[in-house]
Amino acid sequence: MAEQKNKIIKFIQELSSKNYAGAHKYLKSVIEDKIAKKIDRATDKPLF
Amino acid sequence: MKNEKSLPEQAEEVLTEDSVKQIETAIEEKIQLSVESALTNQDELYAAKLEELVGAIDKDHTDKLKRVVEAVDHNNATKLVNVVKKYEVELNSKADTFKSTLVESVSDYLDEYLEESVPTQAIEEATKNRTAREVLSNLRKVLAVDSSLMSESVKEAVMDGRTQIDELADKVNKLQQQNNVLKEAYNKKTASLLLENKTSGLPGKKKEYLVKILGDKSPEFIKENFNYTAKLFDKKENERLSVLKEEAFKKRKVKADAPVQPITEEKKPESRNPYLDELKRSHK
Repeated sequence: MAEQKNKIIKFIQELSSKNYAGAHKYLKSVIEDKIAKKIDRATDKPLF
Repeated sequence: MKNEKSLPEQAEEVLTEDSVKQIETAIEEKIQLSVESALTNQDELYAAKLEELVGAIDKDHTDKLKRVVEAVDHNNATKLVNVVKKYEVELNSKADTFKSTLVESVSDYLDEYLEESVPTQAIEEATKNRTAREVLSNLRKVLAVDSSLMSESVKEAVMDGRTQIDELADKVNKLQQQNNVLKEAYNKKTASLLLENKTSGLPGKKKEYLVKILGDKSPEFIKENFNYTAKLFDKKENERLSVLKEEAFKKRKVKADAPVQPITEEKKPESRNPYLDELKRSHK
């Protein structure tokens, strides 16, 4: 969670300094983390 | 004309009109000169005084302006210090709060957006499908079922074989348990029989002691340790008897007319230590 927050902070910083490539990188990483977390939660649930 | 009238009659007799006019003109010129001189002096005096006054006023105004400037500077500096403090407070506390709020808002927005674009239900379904496929694949490996063996008849045969294997495994388990129970009962019986044979000719107390110590042991243990336990009992019994004998000697009272028996030294047998005997036996 803290890592995600740090990435969002860096995303906003890059966006403020108009470094859109860097901002895209951090946003992509945050979204990937969120999806991976969702998949982990779904995987932990028992099949039956 | 008035002056002419004020002249005395003697002067009118002495002075002519021309001389009177000349005198008047001279006097008027002198008066004019005196007036001009006085005016000049007055001007100079007033000019000096005015200069002094202007200088004093300037000095006063300068002092007052300096004080005003200092007061304004002080006021502005105080206000600036307050502005700096307020700015620092805003920067340190409220800016942090705003930053965390902004980050949380962005995170929440991303969560919502992801929930809309990739629903959690779809992810759960996909993971279930994948897990089910993996389970199925593993089951195929375990049961050795591939695509050629997936027909109904083969499936039934495999299921039948599996059932038979399970039943046989259960039977083997039950037989093993029965075998263990029988072995245990046999060992107990053998041990009790062996113990009974070995203790048949022994006195009751010794027999009771040996049964108590070795009753729940295996036949091998009884064979190995019977002699040692019997010797241990003998040693304890000897010690107990010697203690009783000493106590009896201490408590006895000799009568006056009792026959005196000659004291003869008896050679006592050496007390044997069963530990040492056992050690000697094992060394041999």
